[in-house]
Amino acid sequence: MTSNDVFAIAAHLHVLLRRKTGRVTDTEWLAGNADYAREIVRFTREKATGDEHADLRALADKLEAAIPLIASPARKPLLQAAADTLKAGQVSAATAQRAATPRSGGFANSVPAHTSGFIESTLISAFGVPRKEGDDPDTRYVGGIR
Amino acid sequence: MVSTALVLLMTLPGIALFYGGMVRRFNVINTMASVVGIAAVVSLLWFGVAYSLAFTPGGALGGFIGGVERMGFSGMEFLGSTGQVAVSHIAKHVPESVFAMFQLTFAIITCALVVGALVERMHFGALLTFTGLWLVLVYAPIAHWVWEPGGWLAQLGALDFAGGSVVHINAGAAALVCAYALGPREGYGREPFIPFNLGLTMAGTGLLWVGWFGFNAGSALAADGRAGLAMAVTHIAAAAGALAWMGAEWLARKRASLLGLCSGVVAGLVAITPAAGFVSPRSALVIGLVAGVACYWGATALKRKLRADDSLDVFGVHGVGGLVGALLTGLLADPAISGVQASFMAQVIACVAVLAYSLVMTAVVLWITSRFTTLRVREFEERAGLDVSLHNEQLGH
Repeated sequence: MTSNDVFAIAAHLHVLLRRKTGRVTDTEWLAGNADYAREIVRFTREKATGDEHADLRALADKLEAAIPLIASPARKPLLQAAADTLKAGQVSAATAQRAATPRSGGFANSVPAHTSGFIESTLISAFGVPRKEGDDPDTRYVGGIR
Repeated sequence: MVSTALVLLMTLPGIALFYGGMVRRFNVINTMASVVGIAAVVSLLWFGVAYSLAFTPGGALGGFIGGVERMGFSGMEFLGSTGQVAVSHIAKHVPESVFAMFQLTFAIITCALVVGALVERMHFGALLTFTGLWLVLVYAPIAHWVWEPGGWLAQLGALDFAGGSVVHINAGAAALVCAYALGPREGYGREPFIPFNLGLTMAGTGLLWVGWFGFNAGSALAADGRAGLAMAVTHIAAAAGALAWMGAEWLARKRASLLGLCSGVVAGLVAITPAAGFVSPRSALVIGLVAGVACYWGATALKRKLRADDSLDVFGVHGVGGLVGALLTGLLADPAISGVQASFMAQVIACVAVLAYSLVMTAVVLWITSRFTTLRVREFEERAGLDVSLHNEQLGH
């Protein structure tokens, strides 16, 4: 079984669950996260009780069989996680220090930002235009890309 | 020959990138494969059948369809020993092989444009079957009507320098029919369909803009003053279209989007296409500005009214832009440039005829295709994405 097969099972299950139970799943996550896949298998079997849901049970069985192929979320040893966190903190501190140090030249320092004559690309700051309904990034691409 | 290469560059990879960037991540490969597949199908059918039907005078039905004498590029010869080369009666100063190849690239891009309306849900085999039939039954007759001197619209005095009606109105109408026939994509209007990579779309737009110089200036079929003017007006209209779309978008949404700028460029280019060899640079500015606004309306308000999932707004941009350009050609064509007096009524008749024929015949071709194969993929295949379900390929992470 290939990752494409797993994805096809996940997509098929997504459609059936939505149609028969109203549950909306994330197909890509289902094919890419073993914990999520196990939970959806459990949920599917819980709902697939009658004869009319034999297709759901069959898909749950298929997905369960595919779970070994699905990556489990990476879990780091505690010591490794602590070391990574410490390193990240050091990097952030070094970055902040560099930002605070005055630079000797370059375009960015030639004109203080607040005196720039450029208008922001959204034009909001210049004209105080309020955000409109439909500007929400979550709905931006609903019903058309333009 | 240079123009031929430029127009092919508009499709491969121009249209492939332009459309590939706008579809969702799991349909990019299918969209690009569709463009490549169409280029191959159209090329062989053009060689075998369609060129002859489009660009030879024909017999008793010569006003409507060409003859069979050039099928298989028959008679398209070059005899180096005697210094003879076959030429078309339409372009007597270039080898007919070059003219046929140049026109082939127009046929390829017209068919590829239609892909924008049916992406993310049409079976690959059905698409190729549909394209082959559509080329022969729709594109070739319309090209004959408009560009073959004996065609009935050419006889009527309709002007179409580089394909406003043959390419853009035709593709737009076909796209609309395809969108209605296939129905909306799963989740359309309820879920956000996030474009894969608008950077690809911008790269595609750049290739279209550059390639359009071959499309319009090349349609002069000579490297002369008219070709130079066609190049200049093409550039001016593209720029005007971009700014007009941006202005309209800013007025409506207070944003200037990259996709809007790219769409405006294409709108301006589409609208100047029928007019390129007939209008002055100042008229090109007007055409570009009108097209930018009109196509913005076509891709937004009109699209909502039409209630079709014309996924990448082929009708809104190419259909509306083609209509604007064809009609404004009737008003703005300068007889001093081409020696031809435009007739607005002839332009209206040409637009209506092409629109009506393409709408009806595209529906017929889709019906015929559906007798051979399923038009639309199954729901779970669509949800999984056509890259995996049809091609067993996917983009890397």
